[in-house]
Amino acid sequence: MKLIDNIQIELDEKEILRLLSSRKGNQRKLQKASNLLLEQIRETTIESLEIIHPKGVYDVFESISLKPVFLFKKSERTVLAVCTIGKELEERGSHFISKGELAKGVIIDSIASHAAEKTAEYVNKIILENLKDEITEKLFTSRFSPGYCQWELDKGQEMIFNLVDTKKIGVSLSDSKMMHPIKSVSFAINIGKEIDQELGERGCETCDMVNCAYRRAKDY
Amino acid sequence: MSFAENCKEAILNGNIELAEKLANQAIEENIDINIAIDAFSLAIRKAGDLFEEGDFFLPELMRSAEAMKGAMTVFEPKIMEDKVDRSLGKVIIGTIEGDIHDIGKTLVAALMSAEGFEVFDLGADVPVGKFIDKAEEVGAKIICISALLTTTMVGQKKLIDQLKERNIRDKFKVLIGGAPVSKKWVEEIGADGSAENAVSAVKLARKLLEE
Repeated sequence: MKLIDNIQIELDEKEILRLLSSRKGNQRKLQKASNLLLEQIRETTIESLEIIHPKGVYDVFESISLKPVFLFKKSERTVLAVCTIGKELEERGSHFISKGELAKGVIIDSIASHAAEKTAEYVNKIILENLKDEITEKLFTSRFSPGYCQWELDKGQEMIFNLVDTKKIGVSLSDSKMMHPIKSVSFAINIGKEIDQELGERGCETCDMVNCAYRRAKDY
Repeated sequence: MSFAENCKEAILNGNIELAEKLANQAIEENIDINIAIDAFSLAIRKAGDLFEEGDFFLPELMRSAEAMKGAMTVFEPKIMEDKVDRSLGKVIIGTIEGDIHDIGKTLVAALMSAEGFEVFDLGADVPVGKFIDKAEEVGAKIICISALLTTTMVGQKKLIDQLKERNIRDKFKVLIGGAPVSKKWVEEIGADGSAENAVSAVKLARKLLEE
């Protein structure tokens, strides 16, 4: 079991704005934010980075031992990982929302969502660096998560949380398979000579979760 | 600028102080309360349209909702005193049991209140029975039920099934929301609709009540 901490992430203002836009706003691409809003986002980003605690934990497993078979059958080894930004920022966002300061609350929530994705991206990168000897002359997929790629959310989460010691980073799973803190990401990476490399590529345009905050369909 | 134009400026700029000041001014100058509130209502609808069209970002829309709330808080005693009934109807809203995602439904609740619905926000992790009992208790017209996970959205079906079992399905319009909700799911469980964002949820609620 490997722990990854001391994670430094940089946040992208454009991505935060994308999360704060309507679908049409995102389609317009040139949607311009006011200076006031940009200032609020920058200020809140600085405050937020001070109270996030990005961490990740992972382990590598023989793919043949994992289910569902269709996801892991072509793979030799599979990384299972969970990462989080901690609960402080999430609590701060909820605090503002419950006070009725909705504008501040939604900015914090978008920053937190983006920070969780950036943490997953960083953890993914470090895992591949740590495994560089193992993945030489092999292929590996992009990370893919339960709830995506036809991987059932409940079964996927159960398997990952049974196999990975997520207590090390303070992430738990509720009865409804929801992660606490909410701003956490669980994922897998398949490694092998004949893996399906398209697995893990985001297939937003064919996904029917049209309201998903991370939807990146081609029309965007 | 006219009173209505000032209201529009206050709401679109998310200026809470100005919105409260204009509401107080309307009361002091004995402006018909319905006309005064209509001026604010038009402005908040405009803010919603600007968000949907991509001219506003979500925090700007929320600031407008905060300003609207500020004005309505000033009007509240006058509404009670004059027994003015402007309610579009009572709405029960919450996130289903097992799910603690709170923000999406809170935004819908805020915009529904701003529009003139009387909103009862039950919070997150709410058992199905509580939605129904509260809706019956207050005489709600609409139940809005949010679920952010595929594991918890089954609760939306459970709610509709329970309404049918209790022979009260026709008493309420049921709107469902959350990232995994698709048109197919709406049809499959027999809900009355879903919307892609808080603004369109409010529009849909109005439309359903006009039918």
